[in-house]
Amino acid sequence: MIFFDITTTATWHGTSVGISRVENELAKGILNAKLGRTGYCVYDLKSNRYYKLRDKSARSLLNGEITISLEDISKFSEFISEQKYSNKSDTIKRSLPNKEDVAGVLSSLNEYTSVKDNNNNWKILHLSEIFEKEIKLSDSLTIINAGLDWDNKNIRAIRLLKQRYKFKYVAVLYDLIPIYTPQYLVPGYDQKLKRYFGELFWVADTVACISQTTLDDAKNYIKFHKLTAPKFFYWNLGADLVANDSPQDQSTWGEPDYPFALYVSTIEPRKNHRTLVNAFYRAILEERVPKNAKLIFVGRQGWCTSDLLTEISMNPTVRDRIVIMSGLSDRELDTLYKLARFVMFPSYYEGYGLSLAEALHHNKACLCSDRGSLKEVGLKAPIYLDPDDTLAWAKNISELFSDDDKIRKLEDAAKRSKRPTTWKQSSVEFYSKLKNTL
Amino acid sequence: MTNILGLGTYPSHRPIHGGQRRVSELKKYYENGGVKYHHSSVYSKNHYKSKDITSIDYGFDEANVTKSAIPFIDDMLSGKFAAADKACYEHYVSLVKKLKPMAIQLEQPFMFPLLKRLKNEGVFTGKVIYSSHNVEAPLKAQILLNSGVSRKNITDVFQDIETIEKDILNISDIVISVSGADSAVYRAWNNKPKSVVIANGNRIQTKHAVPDGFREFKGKYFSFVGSAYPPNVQGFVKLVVETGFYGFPPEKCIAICGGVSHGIFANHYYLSHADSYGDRVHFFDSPSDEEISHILMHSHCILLPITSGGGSNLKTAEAILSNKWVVATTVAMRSFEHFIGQPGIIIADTPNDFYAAMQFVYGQAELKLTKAEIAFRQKCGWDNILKASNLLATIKELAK
Repeated sequence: MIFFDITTTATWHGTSVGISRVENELAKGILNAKLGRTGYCVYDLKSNRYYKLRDKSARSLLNGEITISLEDISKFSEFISEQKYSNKSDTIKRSLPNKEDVAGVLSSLNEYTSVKDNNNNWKILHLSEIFEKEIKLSDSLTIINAGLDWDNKNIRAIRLLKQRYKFKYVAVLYDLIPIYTPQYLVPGYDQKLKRYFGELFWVADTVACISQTTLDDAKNYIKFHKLTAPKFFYWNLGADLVANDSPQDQSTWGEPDYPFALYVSTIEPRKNHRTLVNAFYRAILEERVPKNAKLIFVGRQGWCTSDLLTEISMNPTVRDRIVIMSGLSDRELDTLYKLARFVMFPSYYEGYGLSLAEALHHNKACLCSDRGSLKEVGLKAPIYLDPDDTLAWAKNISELFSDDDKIRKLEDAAKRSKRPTTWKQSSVEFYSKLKNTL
Repeated sequence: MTNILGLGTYPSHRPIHGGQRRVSELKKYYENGGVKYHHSSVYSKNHYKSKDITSIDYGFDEANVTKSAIPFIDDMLSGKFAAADKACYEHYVSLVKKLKPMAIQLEQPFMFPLLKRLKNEGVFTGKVIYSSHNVEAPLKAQILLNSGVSRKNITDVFQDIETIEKDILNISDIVISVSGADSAVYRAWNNKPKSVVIANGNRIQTKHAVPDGFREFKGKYFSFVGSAYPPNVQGFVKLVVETGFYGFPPEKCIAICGGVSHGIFANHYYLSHADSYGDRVHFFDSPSDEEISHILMHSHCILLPITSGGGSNLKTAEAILSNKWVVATTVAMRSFEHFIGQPGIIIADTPNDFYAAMQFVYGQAELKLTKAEIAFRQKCGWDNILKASNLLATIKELAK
């Protein structure tokens, strides 16, 4: 029996991006993987137990129709450990005529929860409508883990569980940034993530890496610590934002009507928005870009970037020329990729570089950092630049805004490069490689 | 009988830490050689109990004497107190009159103000032996620097101690140093006193006791023994904890013994991983000598991650004498340089090298030494070190 743990997806609010996207897509893909009996589960941090999700609720969670909280999982854990149902609920339902009051009171009871659907409406569900039962761990069981496990799991406690029940643990490894470049992390996260990786390699039987670069980093880590290597493989992530078979959304949202260069990424120090801001500022001062040209940054504001954002907002030359957007739907982002004159990726390090893959999937001209896995993902399509070389970025940004031939050549290069994988293909590759390790 | 009065800032009646052990071993050596050695300390009553002291020690209340905005200078302040406090000074006047010592031996420099007054007032007119445990001024400055003390205060303390050390050399007949390097510093300051180098040694303990928690150790393990002395914590954290323990299996494989335990546990780099590291590490925070002996005797390897501090380290001698694997820094091997390159002794000075050495040793079988190799390691036993120093002959020459 193989379970896919979807704790991150189940508790994720908003459009799936990054890790939640990978977990979500792989989890959906397990249904077609022909791995025998499969199911979905979540992990409860408080009780250190895995709980099987009902098939219907798992589908709703994966499709973003409902979202639960980590607290809901703990409530279910307490609920079934106490083995008792409240008999007050029906009485309360009868006695409270107002629907909202019912919701409030019932959700405060252990066996009910209020979940939010994708229209932002709350509804009350009995916990047993979401969760089925605690999973009985055994050596015939495999659990696939691809989420934000350093936040949602106690990996040491799972090691102790595994020691006892001998189940198999498959982990998706995104990068080893906390080990090799901890300066880019959320302050205070370095030790937390070091602990996660420290324990992970004593827990995982199979480690699936999102790139050859991450695989190499993981092998170096194993070598440095003289650890017994788990089974490793890497596979390609998907790059299609709007699946071909998804329903068409005809709504419009005010797409940009000016030439713009696009950078899709959380705004955080590792992503190096700073180089783009400085380069674009320079290009504007030297009048090397069209007067209506803009940069669009798509991504939520992360950590340690307040100074940069303040600086942008106070710089009269760039404040109206750099547009920051977040919370876009896949379709809106897809539109931005299509409309962008070119796409940029100046990051200091990536375990993969999903936005680069997405840009190439859209056959866009790309300016890209030469660090981490980006050359592995971009191959010969982008122009690669040193992420610290602001003048080179300024020069290339200027040229791509004015040189149509160059844009066309880079777009052709993107078309000629290895075709980026779709999420469906990614999932097939993942399970095909996983099968060989089980 | 030749008679020496030793002055220091801690009693040596029940030796626990390195300085006490050194004083205690010198006393034994003197007395086996026919020289009577009386050690008297001006000690804090907050730190030592009645069973730790003798009738010639003099206790003070910390609140009245060593209260200072600058940490870790209790030793300096107690020396100043000894010279300035009427009752304390009179205690030493009567002690000198009663014992009539041929020489006063300063254990570390801090009791110099007392000796200076005794000499100035004609109470004591004999010989002076300076028994150095370290070149103290730079060592103290380093400790204060690591403790966040202001540059101005560090400079003041450094100058105070260095002045005292130089003044002592001006009136000393013999200077005992713990290493050739320290001896060279003193000779550069003042070449007049006779120089004797006595590295810190150790003694193989024959009594053992099994500490609580020891049974959790089922396989190979590393040991680290240290007092709460800040450089012990800093060295272990820098060279071992910062890299971490995840390369070792999640079972007890690191024994940390002594007062150093609290500083290591409370350190951010340890505490953030306390549960995971706790699977691998066991703290024995106040083990008895017998318990330490037991832990060391069953160790696979003894760690000496010493990154600062002067002089020579008793723990180094202890590790060498154990005939176990030893992973040590170059600093830890100061005055034991002749053991570098001996089988089973690995030198590592950076966190990565130290970790790699630990990994290497963990993969090795128990260390087996030849008889000749064991005999060589025995050279750092106290008896052999003291005998080789010829200090008794130098003192008897002085007494003539």
